[in-house]
Amino acid sequence: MVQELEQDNLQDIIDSNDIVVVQYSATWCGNCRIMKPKVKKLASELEAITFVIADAEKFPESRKLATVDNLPTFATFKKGAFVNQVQTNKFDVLKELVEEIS
Amino acid sequence: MKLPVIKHLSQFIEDNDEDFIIETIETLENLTEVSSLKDEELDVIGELVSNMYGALEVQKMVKDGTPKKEALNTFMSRVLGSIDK
Repeated sequence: MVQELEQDNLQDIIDSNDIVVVQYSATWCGNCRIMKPKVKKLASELEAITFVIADAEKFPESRKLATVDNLPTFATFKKGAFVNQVQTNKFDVLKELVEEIS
Repeated sequence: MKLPVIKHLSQFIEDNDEDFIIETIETLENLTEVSSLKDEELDVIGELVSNMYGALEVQKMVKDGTPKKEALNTFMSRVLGSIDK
């Protein structure tokens, strides 16, 4: 399942889940929109991982947890710590990032 | 995200209707489900969709009374403010 971040509290979610994959997104970002259904599909196959979509515009504190210099950025976190990130609109690249952490 | 493209699309919305843009976005987003799409084709679609969403955001501000130039600049500031560059 994919959780949409509703407040600037990504750190709390990262702290309370073993593995977290975050999609930093924005409402006007085309590639973010394109990736969203693909992320949802991946999340439905990997129930042990917490997937979060964070609005990079609305939640600056949550954005600081990864280097977000393009959108969409995908970041992985394990046991409360940042692991890796990638900017992509390619499902295969996202899958590799997730496989690396799972 | 390209300001001249967003400006052009904003003018198109003013002259016509935003429904054209919304339907085009829906069509392009649906097109990305084609599995044989090349990476560069996906990049182009993503960029086009971003510019169209950008134009809709700008038009929203214009409708609310913001002058067009200011709306364009405000939107681009929002874009830059969403990333750490």
